[in-house]
Amino acid sequence: MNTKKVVAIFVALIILVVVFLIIFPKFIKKPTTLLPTPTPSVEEQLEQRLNGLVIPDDAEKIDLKNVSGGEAMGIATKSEVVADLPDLSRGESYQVLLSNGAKTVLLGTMKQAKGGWILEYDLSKYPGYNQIIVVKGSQHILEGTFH
Amino acid sequence: MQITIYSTSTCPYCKELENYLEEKNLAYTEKLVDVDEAAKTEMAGLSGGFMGVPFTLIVLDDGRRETIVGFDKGKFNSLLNPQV
Repeated sequence: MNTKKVVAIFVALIILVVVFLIIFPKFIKKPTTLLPTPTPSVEEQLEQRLNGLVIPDDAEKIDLKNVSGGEAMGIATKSEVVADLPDLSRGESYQVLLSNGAKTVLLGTMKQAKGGWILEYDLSKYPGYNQIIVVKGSQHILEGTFH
Repeated sequence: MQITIYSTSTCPYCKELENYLEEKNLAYTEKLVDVDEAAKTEMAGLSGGFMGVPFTLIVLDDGRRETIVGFDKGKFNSLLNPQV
């Protein structure tokens, strides 16, 4: 074997290795690593979104579950319901209902404040009632129950 | 079935209606139109402007919506009895 052939084989080998290194990684399935995403609590998200909102740490509170299928989140203490809800069309309103399972009463209509929607109330005036429901018309948007 | 009663804090017929529904173990929602402006507007929209209470909206299981002005026991019986 002459020197030219050895060099040619050597160069061909190098080219093959380079091509292999370029192409091969595309066929290697990298193991997918599902890293846990830090997700703030509903309370933290609301405090971030609603300017100046502070929910006292010692207040008994519940996260309100979004049952609307759209964008909505909220939290209820025993004295207020706070929510981040989509804008309303003219004539619509967000109302807060309080239920004991058999009877449901209207607590009031939410007002826009601090970039979100707020209703103040006093749960102690409604003994036996523990389920909070935020509605738009007859559509349930958020729900939660004090235990 | 969903029953919504539009009433006021002092309406005696509304109380009678509530007692009637509770006797039949029917869950309902009460909206006081004298304390909530949005509820008042909602009721006016449903009743075509009529502002007498109790005013009741019943959404039946098949989606039909029925409204009842006042505590019309006969109408309540005919609407609710098949499902009670």
